[in-house]
Amino acid sequence: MSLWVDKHRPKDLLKLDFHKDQAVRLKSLVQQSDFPHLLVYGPSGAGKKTRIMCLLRELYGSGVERLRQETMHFTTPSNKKIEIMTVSSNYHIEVNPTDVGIYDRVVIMDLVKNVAQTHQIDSSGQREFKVVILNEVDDLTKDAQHALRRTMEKYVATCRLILIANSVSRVIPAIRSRCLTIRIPAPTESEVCSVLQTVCKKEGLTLPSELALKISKCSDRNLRRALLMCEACKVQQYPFKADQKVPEPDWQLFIKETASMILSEQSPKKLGEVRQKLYELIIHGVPPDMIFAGLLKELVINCDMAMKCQVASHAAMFEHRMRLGNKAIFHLEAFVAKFMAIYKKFIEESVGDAF
Amino acid sequence: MSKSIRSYFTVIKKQTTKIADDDSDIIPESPEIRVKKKKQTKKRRIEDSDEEIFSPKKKKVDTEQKSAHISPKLKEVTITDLFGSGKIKKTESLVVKNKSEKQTEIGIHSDEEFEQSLLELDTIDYISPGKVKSHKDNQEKDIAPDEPKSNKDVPKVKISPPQLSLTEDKREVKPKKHHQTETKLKEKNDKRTDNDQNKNSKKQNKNDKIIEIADDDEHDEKVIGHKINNSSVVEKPHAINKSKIRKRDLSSFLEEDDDHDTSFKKKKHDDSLNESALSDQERHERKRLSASLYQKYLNRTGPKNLGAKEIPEGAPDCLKDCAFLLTGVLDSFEREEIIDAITKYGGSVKSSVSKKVTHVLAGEDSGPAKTAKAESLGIKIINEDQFLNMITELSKKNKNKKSNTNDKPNIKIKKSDKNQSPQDEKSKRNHEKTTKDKSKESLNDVKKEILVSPTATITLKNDKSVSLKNPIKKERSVSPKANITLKNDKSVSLKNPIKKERSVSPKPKIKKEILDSYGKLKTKKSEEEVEQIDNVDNSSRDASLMWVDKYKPQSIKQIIGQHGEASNVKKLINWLTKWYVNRKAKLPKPNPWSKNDDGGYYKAALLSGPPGVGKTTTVGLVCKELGFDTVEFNASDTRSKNLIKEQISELISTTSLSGYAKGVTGKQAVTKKHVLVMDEVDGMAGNEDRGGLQELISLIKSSSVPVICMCNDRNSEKMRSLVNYCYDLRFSRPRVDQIKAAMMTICFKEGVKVPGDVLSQLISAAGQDIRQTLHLLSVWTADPTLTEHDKLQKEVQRVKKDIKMGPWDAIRKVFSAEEHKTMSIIDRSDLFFTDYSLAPLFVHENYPQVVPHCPKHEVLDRMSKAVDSISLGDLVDSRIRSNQAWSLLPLQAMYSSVIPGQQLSGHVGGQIQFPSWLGKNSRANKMSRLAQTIHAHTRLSTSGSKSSIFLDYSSHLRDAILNPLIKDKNEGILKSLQVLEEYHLLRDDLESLTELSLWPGQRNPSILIDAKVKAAMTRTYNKQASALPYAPGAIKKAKHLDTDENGLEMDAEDDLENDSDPENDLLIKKKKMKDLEKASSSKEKPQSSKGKGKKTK
Repeated sequence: MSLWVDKHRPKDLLKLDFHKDQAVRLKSLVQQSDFPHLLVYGPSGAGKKTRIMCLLRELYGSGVERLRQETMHFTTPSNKKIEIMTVSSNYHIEVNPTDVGIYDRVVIMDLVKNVAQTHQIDSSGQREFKVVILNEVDDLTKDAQHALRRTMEKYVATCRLILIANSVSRVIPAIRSRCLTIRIPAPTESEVCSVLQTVCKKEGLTLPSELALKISKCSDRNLRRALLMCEACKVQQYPFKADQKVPEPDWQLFIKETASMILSEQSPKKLGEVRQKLYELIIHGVPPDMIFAGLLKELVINCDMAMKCQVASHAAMFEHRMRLGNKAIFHLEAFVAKFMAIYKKFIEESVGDAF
Repeated sequence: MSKSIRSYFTVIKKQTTKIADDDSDIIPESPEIRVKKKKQTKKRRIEDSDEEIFSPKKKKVDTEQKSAHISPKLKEVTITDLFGSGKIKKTESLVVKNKSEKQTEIGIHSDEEFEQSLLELDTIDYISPGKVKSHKDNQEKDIAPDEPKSNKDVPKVKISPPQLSLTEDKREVKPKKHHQTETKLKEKNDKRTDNDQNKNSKKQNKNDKIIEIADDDEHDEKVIGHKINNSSVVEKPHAINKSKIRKRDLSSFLEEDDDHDTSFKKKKHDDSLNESALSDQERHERKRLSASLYQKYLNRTGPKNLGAKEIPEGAPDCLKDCAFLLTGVLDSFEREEIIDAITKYGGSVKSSVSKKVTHVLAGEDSGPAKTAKAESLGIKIINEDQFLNMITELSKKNKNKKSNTNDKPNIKIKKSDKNQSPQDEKSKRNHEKTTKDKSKESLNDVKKEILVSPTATITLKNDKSVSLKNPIKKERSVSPKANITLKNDKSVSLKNPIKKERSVSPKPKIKKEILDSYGKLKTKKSEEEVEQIDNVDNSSRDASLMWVDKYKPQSIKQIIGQHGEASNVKKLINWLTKWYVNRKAKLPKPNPWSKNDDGGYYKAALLSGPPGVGKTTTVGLVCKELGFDTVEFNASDTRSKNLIKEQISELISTTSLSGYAKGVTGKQAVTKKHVLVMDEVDGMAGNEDRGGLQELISLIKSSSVPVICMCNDRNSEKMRSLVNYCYDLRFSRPRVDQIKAAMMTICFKEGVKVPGDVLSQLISAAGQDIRQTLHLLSVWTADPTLTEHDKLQKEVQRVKKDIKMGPWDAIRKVFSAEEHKTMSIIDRSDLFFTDYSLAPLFVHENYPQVVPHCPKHEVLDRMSKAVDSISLGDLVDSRIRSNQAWSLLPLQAMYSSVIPGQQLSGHVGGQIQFPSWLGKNSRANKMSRLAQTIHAHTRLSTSGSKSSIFLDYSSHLRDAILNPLIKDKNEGILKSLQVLEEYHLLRDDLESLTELSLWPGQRNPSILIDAKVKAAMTRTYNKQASALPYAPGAIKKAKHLDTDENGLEMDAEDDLENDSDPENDLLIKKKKMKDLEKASSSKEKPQSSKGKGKKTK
């Protein structure tokens, strides 16, 4: 018994619930029996992967749904043996090169070459190319991205690459220009609501529209999250109530907690406590940029407009530094300290004004 | 050489005969002089009255002895013999001649004169009562010198004026080494006033003197005499030393002389000392005297003319090799001043009379016991002025030593010393010629003059003394010198007239001095050469050695800090001696915590301790002492498994023939007593020594000889296996004062002056490393500018800086406002470089604890600036690591350490924490690994990326699995298993999921599950053979590999960071261990629950 999010995943391009015009365009794209390299990008929970799988099904038929997992072995130039888990069907292979960290270049070079160099044996009624799906391309190292660009041109006859990314900003322009970029925006709140309603209908449940809206707002327009939350709500309490409490993800709660700590007291001692919270967030795999975003969102609530700008600009600056640097905690803490300094001054001034 | 002496003697013999002829000329002595003499003696008498009371008999006895001495038969028993250990045999013939004359003298003298002469004799023969101590130095000296010198002459002079001159002359001419002091000369001069008056001699020289002396009052005389005295005394030490040390046998008269010199002060005590048997009365007298002395000591005043004189500027180390004993109250210096001066010039001050003491510096009221002992040891007793002269003389000597290297040092010295001396030299030579001519014409006259003239005698004697000394020195020294002296000797008779002629010059006394010093310098020179040769011998050997080797302990006792009963040396000796016995007696393995283990069980000893505390030295000396031959292997030898097996085991089983090499013969020469010394065992690592330690251990197990291993860090990973087979001897650093004492000795030996406090600082700066301390000291001595206290102190500071600092110490300094005051920006960035990989982490970890010294409202502002800088530092760090741009490190130092330190300049409020980033980072890595596994497993049914597992799936999946179990208990099992199957999750993944989704402050939902339900669920899970898209075994393997992979990742990260920091490595290991534990525990858990389930069934 799968979770709703996986159970009710659409499998056909035309059955997709939103961005239907885009789905139609994609269908016409593959009907020409060929397509260029694709770079699919959009926020998490917008349905990138779902859309791609639909596309592949359109291209190869239901055979792509017969998936198997394989572990592939590679040897780095420094004689280090690395393994990577791949998901493949007869027609495509999906890999997440960032799993091997800095050795992603090796994976890309070897794997893509392997796949591209082998021709389809049974080409009757089949496509002449295989598809390689690379996940999280924006997290690839620069080396790997450069390795990719040559391969893309060289083996274009035998393989197509579908690159999936959250944002193209960290994909090098050389790759961007070699691909057809497809942006998949996050569904709007109403779209999320409609999806939730359809899912609930399929499950035989009635979902009050207020609750659906509440969930969609809470989920940050992330459909996956919305569906998971919805299911969690059902587990929590059924039949649904319109004013039912929507369980927020723990990490979001935690960020909020941290933010309130920062607002409650500005002192070096508090800074030390905040640090522990930040560490906890990082340990639990919350991406630091999301921590930044979450904190900023919470912290600016109490600020006046001028300060909001100031804080936001600082957050942006430290977030940028975080990306350039190694240790996220340094930059998070720097931001927190900065905010504390600004906020304390602001408070003192306002108190001073009051008297 | 001896020939030269003989030839000298023969010349003199001839002279004596001549003198005998001239007796009549010289005989007359002025009554004035006599009166003077009498006065003096009377004075003395008055002063000496106590003694006279109790020792008249003695004196008589002594005089008898004296006469006996004079008589040829009893010659052997003379007191001079006893004291001078003299071999008068050499001069026998002369003595015999004297004797006949003396006998006649004795026969002639009148009663009154006899009494006086007896007195004199007494003083000469040490039996004369000591002078009362209240005598001033000057007085003492004034009177004293004439006694020893004229020991036999003076009485004779008084006995019979006509004969006096005769004997005197003879004396003078005699080759005896009697050193003539100027007082004597004066006396003679005085006497000669008679002569002159009577004879109307032509000599202007004498006239001058006469005039002078006649005009001078007593005091002046004293002063002059004193001056001369000083110079002569300065000369004497050398004569004495030489004679004592080198030619005791050759020149007994010299010693005699010395004895006279040294003894003139405390005759009384000589008396008491020399008299083996004392009468009761005498004892009582002595007691009384000592009591009175003590009273005097109690009441004694300070220096009378404090500040009247100044201590002359001397060359540094001019008093080197001199050891002084101070006694009594000096005339114009405080005791401390003198001590300071002595130490300043490299001499040492002793507190008691011993053989080491070279000079006794006696003042007024000097301790009789000390002086007496000094006399008995033949130590020179000098007074204040002599001491001052000594400084100037010796420093001059030092200078000359440096400047003179060729064969004409004498002349040069003269030039530098005295203006007149070159003239002297010339005139002497000229006169050698002229006198040769003259001598033919009026040889008799000239000779008379010579003999009469005091200057002549002086030169004569000096020359003689020189000639006597030189031959011996010539054994080593350059021979030309000897020739020169010989020449002088020969020319003595010829030279004298010159002086008479030259006596026209207004400063006859100075001339005397010059002459004195001439001889003096010569002797000195030759002495120096001997010393130099000695030094060359030694220094050529020593100069090439480092101090560490030069002053290496030669015996066990010399090892610093190893004297106690429980010291390692004792333990090692004990262990080594009992080794063979212990092998037979099978001892149980001792408790590792037992304190008084003698290591009998162990076949090997492991000496561990920091470098430079004497481990190797200890082993070497202990083995030497116990007669073991050492077979040593240290880090410079390859000590791989094979080599140890083949070479060392062979070496150990052989017998040693080293005894033959040492000259031991017979059975003892061949020994089977070996010790295998494995030095620096902690250095047995790397490819070279692969398997060496294991082989060493097996060698120890099978060894038939003792094995001694040495290492620095006993607790290091490498030593862990070896430690179990070794008797543990830990060397700790010796205390500072222990090292300091030894260092002081060495400094003294090297003539280096390092203040005590600086030395202690140096030792502690070097971390009580004896070797390093020695090296530093020897470096200091190489730098001549390092003499001032302040400079040395600075140097110590510099040394301190080189000592390694840990990050804990460094981080305190980074934020310390105090330290910032004295530190430059470079110094501060150096703090970062104590460990550039850890320092930024330390700074980041500890900055919130810092209490900056600034207004309170600024604190947060500063703090934010500090972190801002830290975050910039991280950017630099990332650039450094990714681009290998190590040249950016100084920039990182600024951002990550210096700027935060400056912003938060204050003090660290709490304990310095170890950077938590390292731990947190590894935890984060672990979590991401878990997420990755789940991601991989659920890949087929989910679409999201790894972070979506973290953020969204983990908690919902967990709930989907656990909630049915919690709510429906056993009925929910199927439901939850369905979820697992759907997502292709393994049982283990459930644990990971709970871990991933658990936040601090939350309750672990799996606790809510009934243990029975859990067990049932596991059972059903195991029963079900669910089809997985991946091979679970492979996955398990993959999981392990996964961890490996993660390890690799970590390694990669490390590579990225180029982080050689061991902590990181350790963390990786720990983490792996944890993982394994986790894995095993998670595996065990179901099993145990299974067991429970069975039980319940």
